[in-house]
Amino acid sequence: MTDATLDTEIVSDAERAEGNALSEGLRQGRLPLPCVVVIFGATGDLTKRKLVPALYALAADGQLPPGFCIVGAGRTEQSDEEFRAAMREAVSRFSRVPLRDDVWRVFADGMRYCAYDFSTKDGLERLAQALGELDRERGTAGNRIFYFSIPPSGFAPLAERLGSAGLTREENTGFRRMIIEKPFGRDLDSARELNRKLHNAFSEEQIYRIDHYLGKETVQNLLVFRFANGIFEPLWSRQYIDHVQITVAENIGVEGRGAYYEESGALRDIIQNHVIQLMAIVGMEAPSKMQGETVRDEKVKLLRAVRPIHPDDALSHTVRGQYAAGWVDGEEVRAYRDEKDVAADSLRETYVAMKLDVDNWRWAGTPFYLRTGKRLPKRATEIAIQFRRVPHSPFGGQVATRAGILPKDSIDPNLLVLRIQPDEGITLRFSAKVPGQSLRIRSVNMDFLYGSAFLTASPEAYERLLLDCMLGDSTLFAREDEVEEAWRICTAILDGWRAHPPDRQGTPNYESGTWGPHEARDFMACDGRQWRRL
Amino acid sequence: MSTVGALEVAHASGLHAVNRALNDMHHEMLRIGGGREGAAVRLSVLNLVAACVDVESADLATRAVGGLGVKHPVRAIIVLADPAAKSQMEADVSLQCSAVDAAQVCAEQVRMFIGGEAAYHLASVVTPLLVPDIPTNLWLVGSPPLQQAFGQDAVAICERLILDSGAYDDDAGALRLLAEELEGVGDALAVADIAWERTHTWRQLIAQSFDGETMRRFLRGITLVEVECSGERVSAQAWLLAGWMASRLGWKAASNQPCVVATSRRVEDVAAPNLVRVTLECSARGQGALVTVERQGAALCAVIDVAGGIHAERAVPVTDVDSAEMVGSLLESGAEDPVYRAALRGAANLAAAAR
Repeated sequence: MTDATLDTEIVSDAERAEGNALSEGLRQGRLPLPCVVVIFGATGDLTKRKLVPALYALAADGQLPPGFCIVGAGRTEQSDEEFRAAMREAVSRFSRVPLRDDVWRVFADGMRYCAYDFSTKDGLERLAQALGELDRERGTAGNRIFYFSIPPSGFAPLAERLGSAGLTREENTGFRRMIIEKPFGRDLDSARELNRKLHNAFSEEQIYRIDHYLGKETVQNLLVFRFANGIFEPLWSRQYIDHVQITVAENIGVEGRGAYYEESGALRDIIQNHVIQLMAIVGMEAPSKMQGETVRDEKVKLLRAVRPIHPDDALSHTVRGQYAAGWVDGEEVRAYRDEKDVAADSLRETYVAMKLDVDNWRWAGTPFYLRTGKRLPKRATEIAIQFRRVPHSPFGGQVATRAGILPKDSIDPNLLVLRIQPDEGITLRFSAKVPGQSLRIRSVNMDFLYGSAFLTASPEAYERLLLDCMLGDSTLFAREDEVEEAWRICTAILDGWRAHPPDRQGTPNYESGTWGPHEARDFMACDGRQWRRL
Repeated sequence: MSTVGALEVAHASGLHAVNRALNDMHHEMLRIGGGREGAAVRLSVLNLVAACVDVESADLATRAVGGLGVKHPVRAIIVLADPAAKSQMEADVSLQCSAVDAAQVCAEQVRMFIGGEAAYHLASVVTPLLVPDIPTNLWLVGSPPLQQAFGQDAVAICERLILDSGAYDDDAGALRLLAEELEGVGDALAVADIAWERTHTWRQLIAQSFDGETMRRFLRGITLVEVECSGERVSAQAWLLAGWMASRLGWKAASNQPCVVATSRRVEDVAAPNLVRVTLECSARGQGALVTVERQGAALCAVIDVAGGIHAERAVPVTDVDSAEMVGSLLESGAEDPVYRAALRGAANLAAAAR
């Protein structure tokens, strides 16, 4: 498309300022501009299982603009038709919405394939040419999203190549955005290096770092829960909250990703991104607006307030674990060291528990306990806000307490649990009188089940995040400084662990199907607290 | 998700007995919910009062409300009133429960017949039965005379009125009357119109066709709007869609304004009075463009054709939903819709001009 042609086609400033009068009052106000999503690594698993099924679901829901296109780019030579056929098969297998011929016909019409080996230094002329043709034929007006569904080692080289080919410059040619997924480096230095290289081709505003946890409905509901309900905010501080527990428990093992896991481990794989993001949302101040920069500013402020753990203190603030063989879901499972591509003497952690202190007025003295692990008894992600006990119980010994370390005459403290998965919802634990002549007290749970209150199917996280990227809404994506702050916290721990490797004799230290090493229980007991049994 | 059905049905005579039966149902609901450990929570979203003029419309409302409980935990009161009948108040009270995963969602339903003088004072009968402090919707089932419906004191108990302007034999006349009545009540009452709701996906596709930068310039260059519906006559849906275009783009009934045509024809696959096709001819800076949105089987297809330029398509699945689902959809959004009011005025004007 020549500049002259483009000039006659784009909307004038006056027309742009006037907006679309027809859109007012419609429920679905947010339709992206016509654009092309270019998927690098289009023959990979993520494209088949998540990306194209998510884009199809958006199409079936009427959320994609007219003229929307997908360009698959991958090493394999194949025709457009072969690519479409493979994607049709993927959609029919993995999409949450059924495949329909009428929707598929229009969706597939905008699908192209362009062979490109990003590991070589081949030019991007063919891709640029294909994109130009789509602009002319389908009105995509230079709007592009580059999805890097490739190994992390390829992020920086591909970004630089796109930049050199002039495909990342926005100017008057529509938006140009890139999406990458974790890992964003493997420590603070490598994360900074990656960011520096990406910025040679893309500005920070053009970079969308996906943490798919943030695309989950219940995580977004957390923002609504905190900032749309006036009754909780006054309680949301050190004054009333004793501590916070965030748990991401998995019952699966490394599932064939032994080689990856040997390099990463639980801290890099889960804590550095998902768990610290959840912590930031739980702990942040209210943003002035629910917009990308304001929300992320508040999250970064919280992360900056996390007290650095000196490498020498890493062992007193964290617990590492590795799973041995055991039983999960009624099946015998092997030890981590017996997994494929895992060293027989591996010391890699598959479980982490840790305590973080936040040095600000809201949270000083109220610790955040984080834990994640593989081969735990069940899959569960939740945030538990444990409130302080009543200062004095007038009920003496009338309390039916749960077994545990709580004093016999004390009343269970109130607990607010925000369940992310499964059974998304909110539970509030409070004390109630047991019916009868005597005054006996026991804890009861008040449950809100997200699924039974709103019986519409929630979109998949990728649907939400891809749509947000098309709309230019970065609220649910991690910003450069967020990533680096999270690495600052984790890198100090990694340094400490490196200086004090785990005891070879004592590894593995928890049986599959249990809630992790006993050191994790002792770790909490030292603070007079206990992990929630999920 | 599966429907368990009516768990308990009680017959009650007189208002006090109905109230007592409702309380018993409430306890039953808590008992069912209490299957989970600890206390149970009942999610009350709104009250729905269905005002019916005959047994057929009461049956329709009963069926519709039966399907609502799963998505909308409502207390539904279906009222069939006949001032000419002998003075009486008879009701069937039931608890409609559906299994959702491990939990159950239950909704209370009351079907009442009110005979005699009390039929003129529906508010006095219905008010004691409403769950307090949650929104109340009044659904005028079928095609009750609009002037009478707005005159009823039952209107006073609700925040929102649900009706179907497409249910009347004289669509154009109904739209005119409705526009007049709404002018009278002002902002005191929100109105949800089933015929308007049925045009939503059409409006969405039309509006979104002009979202892209390439198409925005054509928005002020629309020269012809043709709205086609299925059936023997131009339906309320067709008038409302045309009225919407006219009101959103500020067109008046003047000769230099775009030509707006509403037509009807029999179409095999599309049940009357639904929309079949909307065509927009546009021109800007000497270039022409055509936007069409058309019903094709179970999908709405939008096609944008710019002369010498782009060709873009979208297909969005649509399903022909029944009254129950349509009312359910309307219950999801409780807000007043000023766009509808403006479209209604536009529709009434266009229909009057076409006579």
